[in-house]
Amino acid sequence: MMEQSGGVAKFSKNGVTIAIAQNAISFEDTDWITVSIVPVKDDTAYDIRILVNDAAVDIKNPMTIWFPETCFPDSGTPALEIDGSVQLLEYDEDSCAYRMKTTFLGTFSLIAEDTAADEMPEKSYWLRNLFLILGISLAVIGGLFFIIRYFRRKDNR
Amino acid sequence: MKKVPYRLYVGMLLAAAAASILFCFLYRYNNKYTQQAVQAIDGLLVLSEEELEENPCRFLWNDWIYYPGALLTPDDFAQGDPDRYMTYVDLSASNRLEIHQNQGNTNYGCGTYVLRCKLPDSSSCYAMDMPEIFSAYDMYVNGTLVMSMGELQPDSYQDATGNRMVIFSPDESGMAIILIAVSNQSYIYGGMIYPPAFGTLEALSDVREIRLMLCLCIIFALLISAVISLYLWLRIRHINAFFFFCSASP
Repeated sequence: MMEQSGGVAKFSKNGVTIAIAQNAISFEDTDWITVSIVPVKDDTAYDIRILVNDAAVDIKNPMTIWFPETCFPDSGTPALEIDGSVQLLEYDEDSCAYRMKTTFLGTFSLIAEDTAADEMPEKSYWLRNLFLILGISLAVIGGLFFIIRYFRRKDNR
Repeated sequence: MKKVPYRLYVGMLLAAAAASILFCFLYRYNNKYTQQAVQAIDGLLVLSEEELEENPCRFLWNDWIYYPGALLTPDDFAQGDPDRYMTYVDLSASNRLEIHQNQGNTNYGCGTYVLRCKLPDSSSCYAMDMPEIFSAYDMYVNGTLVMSMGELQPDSYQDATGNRMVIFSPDESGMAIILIAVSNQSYIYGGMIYPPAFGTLEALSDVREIRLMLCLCIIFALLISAVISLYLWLRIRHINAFFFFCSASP
């Protein structure tokens, strides 16, 4: 993967992407490398780990972590809470995503600087699926109407 | 109240059972997503000769590299991967081109898909059967523009869709880097939502032939149904035959 992409291995899960440079971790060609990006706390935090042969490794050179805009609440300045401290992110206008270079591995909590992490805006699933619900309802009502009409006609004959 | 004849229920049950069996059969034997064939992982497809012999045709739906909001060209990859946000996507109808916009996905916009294929024989020709990609795209293989549908650039955007087959050879090391830059400003779907078929030239030609034959059979059956129902409507003036004609004729 590193050979093909110019010396950077990229892993992505749940929209969060990590770019690991060739010299960021020590490994042999035969080593088994595990990269995990696991959402925790209803997607308001991500647990990021890198294991080589099932053992935790130290990051020698910073890796880049990318978070798309959609990960953050609308209001406030997007930031990450890492190990108890708040860190601001760099915004990449071309990609419309936030990035950060770090050697830290662990839990990254997504926060907006002015708001608490648990104040993520609630998604209006009902509104989004309004057409689907209306469509299904109309289909059911229409089906019932025709079935009732069919049996009434049969009765009248 | 008249009793509903039991034959009606039996008929409905038989129709439901027949439909279930047909759908199970199609799910099992005509499913691009459950085919037991090696797929790309993290944007890299590695195929061996044995694997290609076992499955000469596969549908590439898994783990394409995707750069949202960017119309990239091979020049952008000349010094390695561009330093911008990317993610891996599976091709499906739920995909959206602009996955990064504020609290919502949209089908309008642009993006670039990349897939790297490590193929067993660098001297052989391989083929890719491109389905409809919405709504304009440029496709490059190993840096060469091999296909262009519509016009990508926002100022001269022009949509165009269609199925095409692309034939290419990998480079000396057996690598084929497929890059597809897509733009959609006009349609309800955007980007790659159907997986392209990839494999040997012979296998893909067979797949296209079978698909063409099936399409012809369906069109022919519909045409016959339309003619029969039109005849029945004209002859016995049965209104149901007219409705059937209307539904079959498109």
